[in-house]
Amino acid sequence: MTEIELTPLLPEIALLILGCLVLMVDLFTTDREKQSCYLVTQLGLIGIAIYLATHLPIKAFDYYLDTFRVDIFSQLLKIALIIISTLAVVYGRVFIRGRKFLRGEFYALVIFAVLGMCILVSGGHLLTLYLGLELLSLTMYAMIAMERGNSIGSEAAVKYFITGAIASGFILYGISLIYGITGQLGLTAIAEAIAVTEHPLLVSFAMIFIVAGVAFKLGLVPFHMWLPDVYQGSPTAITTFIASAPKIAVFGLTVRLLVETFSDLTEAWQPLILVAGVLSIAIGNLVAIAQTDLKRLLAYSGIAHMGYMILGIYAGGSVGHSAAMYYVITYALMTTAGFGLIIFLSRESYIYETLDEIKGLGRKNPWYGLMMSFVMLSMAGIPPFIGFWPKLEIFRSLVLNGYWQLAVFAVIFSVVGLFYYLRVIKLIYFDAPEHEFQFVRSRSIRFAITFNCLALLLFGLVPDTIYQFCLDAFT
Amino acid sequence: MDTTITNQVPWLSLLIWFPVIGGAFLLFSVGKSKQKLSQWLALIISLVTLFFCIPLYMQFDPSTHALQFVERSVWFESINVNYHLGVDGFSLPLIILTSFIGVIVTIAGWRNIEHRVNMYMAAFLLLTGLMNGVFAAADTILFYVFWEAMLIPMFLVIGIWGGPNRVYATIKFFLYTFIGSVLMLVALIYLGIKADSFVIQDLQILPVDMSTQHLIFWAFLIAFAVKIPMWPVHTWLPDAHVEAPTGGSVVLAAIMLKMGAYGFLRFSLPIVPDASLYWSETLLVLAIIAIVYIGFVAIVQRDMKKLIAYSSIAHMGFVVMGIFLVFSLMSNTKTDAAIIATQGAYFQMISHGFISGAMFLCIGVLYDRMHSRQISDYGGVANVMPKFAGFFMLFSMANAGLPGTSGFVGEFMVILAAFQVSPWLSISAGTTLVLAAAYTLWMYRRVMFGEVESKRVAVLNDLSAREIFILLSLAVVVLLFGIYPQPILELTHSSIEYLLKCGIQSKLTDGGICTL
Repeated sequence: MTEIELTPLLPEIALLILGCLVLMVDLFTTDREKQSCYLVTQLGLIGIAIYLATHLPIKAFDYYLDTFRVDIFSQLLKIALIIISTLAVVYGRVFIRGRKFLRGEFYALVIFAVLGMCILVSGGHLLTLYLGLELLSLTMYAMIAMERGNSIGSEAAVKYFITGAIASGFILYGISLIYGITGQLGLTAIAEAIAVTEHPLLVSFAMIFIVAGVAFKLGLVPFHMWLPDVYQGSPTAITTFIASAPKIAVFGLTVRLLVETFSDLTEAWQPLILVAGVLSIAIGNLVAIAQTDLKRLLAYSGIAHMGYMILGIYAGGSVGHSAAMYYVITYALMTTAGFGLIIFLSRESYIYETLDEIKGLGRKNPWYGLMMSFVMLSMAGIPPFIGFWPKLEIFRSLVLNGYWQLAVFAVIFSVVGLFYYLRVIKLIYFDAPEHEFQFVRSRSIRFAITFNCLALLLFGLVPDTIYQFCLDAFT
Repeated sequence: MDTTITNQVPWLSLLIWFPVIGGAFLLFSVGKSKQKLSQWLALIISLVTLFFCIPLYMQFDPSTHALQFVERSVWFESINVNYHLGVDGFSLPLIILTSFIGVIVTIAGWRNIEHRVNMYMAAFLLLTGLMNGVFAAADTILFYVFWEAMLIPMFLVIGIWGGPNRVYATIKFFLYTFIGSVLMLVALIYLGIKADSFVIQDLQILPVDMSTQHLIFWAFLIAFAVKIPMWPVHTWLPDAHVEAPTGGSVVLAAIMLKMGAYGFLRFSLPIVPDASLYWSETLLVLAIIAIVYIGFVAIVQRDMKKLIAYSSIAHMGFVVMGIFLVFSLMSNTKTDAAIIATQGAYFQMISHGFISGAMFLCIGVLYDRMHSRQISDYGGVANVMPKFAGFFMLFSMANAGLPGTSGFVGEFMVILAAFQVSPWLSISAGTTLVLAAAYTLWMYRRVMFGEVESKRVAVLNDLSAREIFILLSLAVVVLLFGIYPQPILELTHSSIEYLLKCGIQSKLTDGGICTL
């Protein structure tokens, strides 16, 4: 036994130290704005992202008795989710400062959630995966409940906790069955054991529980009920976070389990995610039409988006998987921009924003009206915005694998989706303002929103940049 | 493939990006209050864009069907999508038309747009650039990107500066066109995967079996039929036209409708020739319905803009008819008649661009003064606006297809070719000459002639110098092409010949490599 090599774990160790450091800084700082915590968090996260980007592994490798897997896929997902998290922190800070519950714990919780996500995407072992998932979920329960005086927030936290616990229970039950059948917990070992198993039906049974748990976390129909309530009830700062980066991490989990571990059971899980994906696209898009609350609208559109994403995994092959990865990363970028704009528009007296409140935004503040339209057009998949390209890739992967009927279904529902996105643009530009807008006064959020929304256009003009990474992850 | 990469000035890129970047500049750096500045800047940008067409026209070689001014660079390498531009006889006249109309709408919006002027001007500049992109794209995905992106400024133009029911009209417009185009996208992806290339020319020579051709044909048809628009998917057009500001109506009628027909020529016919042949008779029937039925619908309209909108649908019916006549003609080896049919259809596209644009501008002139489009609110306008009456008369006659105007040439050629297929087809198409005269001239009589009964009409001012300039430039073009249609016919001749002899050759039998 040689000495234990710690380099592959360095980013995770750094995150752990960073989280503790932020807690310490919080303890000794007297600044009410918690400026120092904020700076430490952001610099730390960016530093770790840079470290990851400069130390991309050449080939996949399993460490620590095959419990921890480092490959290009995991490292790229980590970079993406850290960048998205830093954006979410910029937006979130402004929101909670305005609501007077700004505490150092917010930053620490974000960092621990990021740590959980990093472990999740690097898990090479069912227990590591579960550990990462639980770390992520627990920090999020705490974050949602952070605004103590807000009963809606507490309700959302309880809802999220109960449904999340059920989902975790499902996954854990599936894991225990798998362990019982194969005697293995390492993903590679399980994949090998499944290939020669004498109980394929039992393995499929266990796998169904795991798929259900993952669908819960992604918010796919029929496990989507929690999502709109939680998005709406949580403080917008937290919604921004839970709607974006965790999707990337859970996507990582999905690929690790379905594509890498259960590859021999593809025929068994394909119908499951097909039904989930088709229903998510249909129900997400249709129900979104009826929403009057911007956060709920984005929640239902998120359900639909995850439906499109999962169709990429359904289509399979390196094109399908990279398309799904491309989709989830760009979705996270769009959704942070969307919620960031809601934060920017939130006057302090309001807990959340209804659709009517953005009436006439384009007239009162043309720049941010335009930015909001960018987000909506991008989500609708109108070129030249970035949202078009991952959709194109999903359709291409479907057609490539012979599922052109599915592609037709998906594009028709993207027309339904367009309808409610256009309605938001209609409110921004065509309706007269009903009240004076009181934007949040913060230079950093203005800068971040502009950067985030312009990125939607610029990455749309040079679509290859992100997609190239997604292709690398699956070759 | 005889596409060559030339190291000349990238005129096509300039035609696309100069107005787009100019529009973006106008949007962000010119304040809302600086009305005059944004107007002049917009005029200069659109004029420069029009000037870019001059070298394009001068250096264009009409003797070949090959793409010219080709620009090609890698764009989305992983999926083999290129920034690939080029023009042939089908796209060049439309690009010139687009740039010309771009200048016209800028001047037309000079007085009547009062709020958010920089945004209005920017939207039209963006539109001009993106529409040039649609016609110049030689890569299907690039084509689709322009095709969709163009909807955004148009959506905003109708929605922000439109009439009372503008929100309904503009959302209907966007959704209708979008649902058509997404199906086309799936077809394009399918073809792209099969050909392992998204270049339009590669798709044109790709063999496709019959059952697939049917599906692809319908996917294309829905996209293009909505755009043209053909009966029965035309209902968005009257709404959009009525609610749009004058400039929006002009662009819609003059250019956007042409994209559907351009799509038939560029995509449907060469890519799925056998399905096009199979369905050509159905398309002819739809075209006849558009010409005759919509002609009757136009007669009963009380709103002038709606009337012209319906007449646009009827006139575009001729374009569809001309394009789909070629199958019957070619199968009877009447190549000359087929060439006449296609040329007529194409000529009708260009000529209708000018005439319908002019008609909407004339109605805009009246609307600016009276704020009404109802025919019954007018009467006797000719007494107070004699100059306007002259122009309006000329364009009404052109709309009715009077010989000597460009409106006559295209329709006449299509009717002539239709006679070779069946006299009945020709006769039913010919009813348009009666119907168009009926609805246009009856409208003209009710609006312009008679006694001045309304007090508001009595105080109308005649055309200003600016309005005279716009209408005069359109009148010159309408008359010029009416008397001397040769330039357009020459530009398109080789492309049409190639399309008929090689493009629509059956893909089911191996005909070998087609050469002219």
